[in-house]
Amino acid sequence: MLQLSLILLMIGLGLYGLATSRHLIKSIIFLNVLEAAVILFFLRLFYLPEGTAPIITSLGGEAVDPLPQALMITTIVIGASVTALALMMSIKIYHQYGTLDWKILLEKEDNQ
Amino acid sequence: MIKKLMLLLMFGFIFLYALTATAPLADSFPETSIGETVIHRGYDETASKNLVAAILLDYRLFDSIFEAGILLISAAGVLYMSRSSGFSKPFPRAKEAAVPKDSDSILAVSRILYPFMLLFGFYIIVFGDLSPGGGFQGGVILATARLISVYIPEKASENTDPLNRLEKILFLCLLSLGLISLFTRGAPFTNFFSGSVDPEFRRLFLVLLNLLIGLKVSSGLTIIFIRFIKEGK
Repeated sequence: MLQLSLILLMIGLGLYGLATSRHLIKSIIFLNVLEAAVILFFLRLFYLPEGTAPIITSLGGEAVDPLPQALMITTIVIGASVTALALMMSIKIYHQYGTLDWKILLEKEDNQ
Repeated sequence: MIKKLMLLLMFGFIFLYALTATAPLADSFPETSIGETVIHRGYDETASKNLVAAILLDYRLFDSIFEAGILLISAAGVLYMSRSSGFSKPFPRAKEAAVPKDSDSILAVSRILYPFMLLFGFYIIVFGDLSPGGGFQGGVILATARLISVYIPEKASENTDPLNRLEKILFLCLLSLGLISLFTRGAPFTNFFSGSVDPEFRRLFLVLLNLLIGLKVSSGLTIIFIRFIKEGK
C-alpha cells in the first residue's frame, strides 16, 4: 500500500510539475519523472514477494510475469528518444530566442 | 497563487481517487494470462531461456523492430536539427562558461577502461537470450564506450554521417532478417527455423537479431551523444 501510494504521488508530482514549471528544461525533467513513475507502477503491480527473474534456470522458483517487463523496455527506449529530441530542440530554441521561459517564449511567438 | 492552489487541489483529488482505485491491487499479485503461457511454453516455442527476450524477439518482434526504428528517427531528428542552418544564432553560448579541461588521470583511466567496456557490451548483447540483457541494453553500453573514445583525443572522429548510414543499413538488415521466416515458415516476424529443429540451433536467430539491434542502438545513441558534445563546443 505504501509503495503504491508513493508511486501515485510520483505520478502526481510529474503532472503538477508539467503543469506549473515555466522553465523548458524543468518540463523535460518532470516528463522523465512521470515516465519513471509509470514504469515503477507497472513493475510493482506484477511483483511477486518470493519470485525469481523470468529466466529458465536449474534453480527453480516461481518466476515473475515477463510481459510487463518486456513492455517497459519499449517505454524506456521511447522515453530516451523523446528526451534526446526535446533537449536538442530546447538548445535550438535558446539559440533562437535567448530564453527558455515558456511565458516569454509564448509572448515572443504572439509578437511575430 | 490561486491557480497553483486550484491545481494542487485538483491533483490531490486525482491522487486520492487513484489511490482508492488501486488499493485492492496492493495486496494481490496478479498475473497476465499471456505471461503464464510464456512461462510454460516460451522455451519450446522460441528457444530463448530469457523469457523477456522471448517476448521481445519472437512473440512481438514486429513491435521491437519498429521500436528500434523510433530510435533511428530520433537520431536522424537530432542530426538534422543540430546542423540545420534554418536556426539563426542571435544568442550564442555565453563566453565566460569555458569548457574545463579534462584531467590527465581521467583520460588515462578511460583509455584502460575502453576495451573492457566494449567487451562487456558485446557480452550483454550475445548472451541476451540466456541471461539478463539483450540488444537494447548492450547497445547503450557500447554507445557509452564510444562516448569515452570521443573524449580520448587521438581516437576522436566526430563525423556522424557514416554512422547514420550504418544505422539505416542495419535497420534494413533487421527488417529483412525478420522477413526471412515468411519464406521458410510462411509467417513473417518469427524465428526462421521451424519448431522441430534443436533449440541450440534456433538460438542462432536470436543471437543474430540481438547483434543487429545492439549495433543499431549503439550507432544511434552515439550520433545523439556526439551531436550534443559538438553543440556544447
